[in-house]
Amino acid sequence: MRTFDHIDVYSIAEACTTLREYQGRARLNAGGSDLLTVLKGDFLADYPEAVINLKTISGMDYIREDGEYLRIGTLTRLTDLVSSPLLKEKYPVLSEAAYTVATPQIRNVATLGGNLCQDTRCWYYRYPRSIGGPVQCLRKGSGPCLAIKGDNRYHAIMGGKKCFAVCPSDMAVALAALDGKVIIVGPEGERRVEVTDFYHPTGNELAKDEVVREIEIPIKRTPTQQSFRKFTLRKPIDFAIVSSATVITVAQGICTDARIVLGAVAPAPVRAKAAEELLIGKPITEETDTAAAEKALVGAKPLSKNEYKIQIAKTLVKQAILGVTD
Amino acid sequence: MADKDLKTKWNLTPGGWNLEGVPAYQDEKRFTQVGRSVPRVDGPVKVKGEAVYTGDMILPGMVYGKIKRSTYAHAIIKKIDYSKALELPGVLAVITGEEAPNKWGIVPQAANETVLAIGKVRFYGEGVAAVAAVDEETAEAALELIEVEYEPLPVLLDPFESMARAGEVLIHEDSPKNILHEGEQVYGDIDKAFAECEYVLEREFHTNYPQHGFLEPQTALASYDPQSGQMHLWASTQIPHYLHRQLSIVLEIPMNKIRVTLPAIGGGFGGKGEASIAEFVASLLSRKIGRPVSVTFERNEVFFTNKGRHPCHMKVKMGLDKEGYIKAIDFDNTLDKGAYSGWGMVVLFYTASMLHLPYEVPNVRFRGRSVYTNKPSTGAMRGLGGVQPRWALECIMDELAEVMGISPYELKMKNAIESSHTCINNMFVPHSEYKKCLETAVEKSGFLEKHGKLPFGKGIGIAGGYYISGTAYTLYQNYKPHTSVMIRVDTEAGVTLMCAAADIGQGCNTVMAQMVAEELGVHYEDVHVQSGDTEIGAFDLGSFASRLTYASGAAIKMACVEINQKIKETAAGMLGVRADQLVLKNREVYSMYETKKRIPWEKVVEAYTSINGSLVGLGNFSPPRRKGIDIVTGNRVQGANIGHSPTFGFSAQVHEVEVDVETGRIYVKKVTEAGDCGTPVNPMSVDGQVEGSIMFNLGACLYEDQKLDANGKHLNPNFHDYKTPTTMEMPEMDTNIVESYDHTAPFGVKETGEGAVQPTFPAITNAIYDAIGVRFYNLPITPEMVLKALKEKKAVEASSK
Ligand SMILES: Cc1cc2nc3c(=O)[nH]c(=O)nc-3n(C[C@H](O)[C@H](O)[C@H](O)COP(=O)(O)OP(=O)(O)OC[C@H]3O[C@@H](n4cnc5c(N)ncnc54)[C@H](O)[C@@H]3O)c2cc1C
Ligand code: SF4
Repeated sequence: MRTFDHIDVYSIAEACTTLREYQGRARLNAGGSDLLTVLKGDFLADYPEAVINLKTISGMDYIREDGEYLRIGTLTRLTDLVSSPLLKEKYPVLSEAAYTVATPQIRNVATLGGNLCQDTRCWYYRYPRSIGGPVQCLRKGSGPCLAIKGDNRYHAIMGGKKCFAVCPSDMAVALAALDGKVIIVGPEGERRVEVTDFYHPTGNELAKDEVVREIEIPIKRTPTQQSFRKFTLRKPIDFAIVSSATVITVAQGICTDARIVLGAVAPAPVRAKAAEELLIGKPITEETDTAAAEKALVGAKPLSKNEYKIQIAKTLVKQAILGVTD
Repeated sequence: MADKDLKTKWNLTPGGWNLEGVPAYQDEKRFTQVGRSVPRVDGPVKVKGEAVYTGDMILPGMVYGKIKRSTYAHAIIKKIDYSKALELPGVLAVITGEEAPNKWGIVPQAANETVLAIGKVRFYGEGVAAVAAVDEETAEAALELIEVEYEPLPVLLDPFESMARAGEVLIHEDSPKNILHEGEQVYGDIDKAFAECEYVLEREFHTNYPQHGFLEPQTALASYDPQSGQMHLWASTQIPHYLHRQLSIVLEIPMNKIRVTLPAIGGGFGGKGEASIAEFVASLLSRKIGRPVSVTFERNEVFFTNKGRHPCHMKVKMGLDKEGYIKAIDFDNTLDKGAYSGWGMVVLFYTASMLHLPYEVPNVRFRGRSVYTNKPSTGAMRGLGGVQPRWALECIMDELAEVMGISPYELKMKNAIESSHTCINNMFVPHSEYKKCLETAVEKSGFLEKHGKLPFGKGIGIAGGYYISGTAYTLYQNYKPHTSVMIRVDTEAGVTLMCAAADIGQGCNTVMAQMVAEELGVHYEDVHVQSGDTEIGAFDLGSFASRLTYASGAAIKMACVEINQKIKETAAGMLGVRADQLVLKNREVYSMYETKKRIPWEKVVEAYTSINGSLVGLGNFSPPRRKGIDIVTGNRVQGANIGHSPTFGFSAQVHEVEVDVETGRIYVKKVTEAGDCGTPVNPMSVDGQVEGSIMFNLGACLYEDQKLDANGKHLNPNFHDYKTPTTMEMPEMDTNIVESYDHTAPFGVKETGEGAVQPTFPAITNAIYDAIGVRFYNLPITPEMVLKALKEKKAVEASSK
């Protein structure tokens, strides 16, 4: 790892101004569980001059409901999401998703904001600098995407346009199923972005001087049934090959509202709207479930080595929906 | 072994009788120290994080070395310009290949690697230059300032392509077919045998490209003293002696001016069974600048330099007679050598010798070739040369049993060898409890009740295997003993064993202490072990081929003869009895006929040393040097000296799996293992070795594979993308040590560290077949392959309806 300045900040506003001062040559650090791997691998074109420590900002780790919204502060640790009684009771999809992330040690330092903003895991992108300098690819701004012709077994099966790396965040998938919004603070003030829109083809919504402050989730008035499923190659540690989050409202045996979200299949969490529409107004049965799973994957375009993800995705959607009925 | 049994062995009566009333001297197996489950001597410091590894060491004036690596898998080096790197403040020296042109390699006949590439690079990530600088950051910055100009050559990543295109591209100029070595071994009349067979099956198997995954990366700290010309190297190695020898060749310094010391070592599994570039680079840089130099590989460098298991492309044909007796094996193997020779020739012929056991096979033909490719070199990896053919053979036997309509267990029992077996290639097995292993594993797992009867998606599979307990030959022509030890006894240090064995985490320091204690009649806790140092210890070949327990045991026994004789003579005078009627046990010396005539062992040592000074015993061990001949014709067979061993360990495993047919994921739920390791010197360590072995190959069977892109660039050089199983993947394990005692072996011991890796691939593969009716011939077996196979199976079933 190379040397850099380490700057403690005490407010989100200070974080923004410091970012602006450094004009893109500084990086935010929350739990550091992703950032340090990026700095050690040294695979980006530029190395930051400064690392801005967010952990010195107090009062940014909270999980609370106020009136219309559930609010979660950006510095809330994943461990706290796992153990929060409020989430377990009313937003289990969040605590379940958090529980599938990495290992207890990592969850003890990883924050929700950091999880949403973590860098991609594409193995071309992350190729260590130590032999031959940083790998260039489309996401880094020069050259073609290396995964298209290369080994793309873990890459996107839908929604890829230029870059085919999948969104690595499990929390984003669960939040998308709850209609979560990311509250972003910049020099000009605050703005809100849907979690599904937070991710761009080659990065995310944040400008160079913006900071995530909070996640905002509309409180559901009627009880919902929620479920998170994740397929990995090994039990802990691994990122999802595919994941699926569902939030479904059922009244008198009929599905009245549904969110079905697929994770790790595209550069952003994908709402399977066609599948949601199919379910609404129908009872949840083996048959509607299977039909919804098929619908969710319509339009998937696998690359050369990842067709298997489609079948796994269908299975997960099925299990996630059925999971909510039992 | 139950605690109860241990207690009876341990609790001899004051008279030296065991509780069954048998005097200890009447039973050579009546051990008190061997057979104890004692905690490992290195356990506490490792658990507390206090063990000192090479990378923890800091010497005064120490600086850091880093290696510049090639960005082509195959290219001519046109120019290396490091002038800018030298100008960077803090940089002390830069070296390139020309500075150490002597070739090294563990098998001297084929040694073809230089420390840093000279003229040409042969794999992506090969070292081309190295830097010494005051800190690691400066060294890394300097690497980027080194400019290397390459002229790319075609990259050959597949052994078959490599052979086919040898006319056009050569990886090594002196290997005109891109082949390191090829060989044929024919025993009996294979064609005639097949013609007489009732059942014949032919299949192709392809194994993967896994790596050891040891936790401590290769690390070396070299300190050269310009005044005395003495080099001291601390290194994370399994083979202090072979390293020592090769350092001498590369550095052109006599061995007696080089000392190799092993601090704590974080695993090897064969990966540290060859010298590492880290060791050479640290030494060369230290000699150049006259300061200690430390070189620690990054994890990705461990992957780049590899030396993992050879991918094998095997064509196997097996024939059985009407009753199911194996009549013939025809085996053709193409091994993927990667860029440099290393262990290659040895591995090639191990895959040949492995065909001859653990079943009786009268007719065998082996044809094989080890082929160069532009990949990071393959090398030695736990179960070297055995794992791949074992997988193929145990799988094909599973299929043959099905064809015959009998249980695979029955087929194995029918063909399993017994003690005092001579193979057709003259390999001799003094002792085998392989049948007992099969019986135990089958009985304990309920295999016969479950096999073929579990619901779709669940399956059970069986396989067996064996491994050598040491080799018959050194890797270079030499007749010296493979192990020498020295034992010192006095009142100052008590009992000290001095040897050069390498405890790489397998626990040899613990079992050696137990064996010394047993032989001298003291307690394990009384013995100090000084090992892993070429200057303090006596000679030892190293930790590979599962040789240490046997070899050290034999040398220890010999060293103790002299000491015990003197102790007995001294005690005889003190007690007024005859020396040859004395027994040494439990820290006492006593008469075997008059049990009241006894004296503490320590008192005798005191009496002896006060007259003569320290008591020293020397011992050594040379294995029987059996020759590779055809026992029918008496003719010498090329490469067949490889595979002989003083004795052999055996293992049988039953794996139970669950296959998620919707996602293709495979879960190994339960493993029942039964092993013949002779006398378990430390039963707790045996369990650890066996469980570790199973997890090791469970990983390579289902998850682990190094991936290279079309340019030969390593795609997963980290533990994130290279997937080793974690504790969460660990199945329920029932490991059993079967009653076994090899009378030809010291303390009746055999290996246990590599035999138990052999059955894991085939037992899992066979269990998957039992679960979903699909046989796999490629590794690792991934969810992707399972889904595809199930889809194809469905299609076939639908079309046949
Ligand atoms: C072995 C391992 C396994 C993993 N497995 C999973 C998994 O299965 N699923 C999963 O979802 N994740 C997984 N992760 C990723 C892990 O969840 C993230 O590393 C973690 O959540 C990041 O949080 P952090 O607080 O440590 O972020 P940091 O490392 O501190 O930051 C990550 C990135 O976010 C930026 N950032 C942080 N906070 C803010 C903010 N408030 N505003 C703007 N930008 C910000 C940083 O600049 C940085 O670029 C794994 C990580 C490891 C190391
Ligand atoms: S998938 Fe994206 S990150 Fe990966 S190589 Fe392609 S462009 Fe780069």
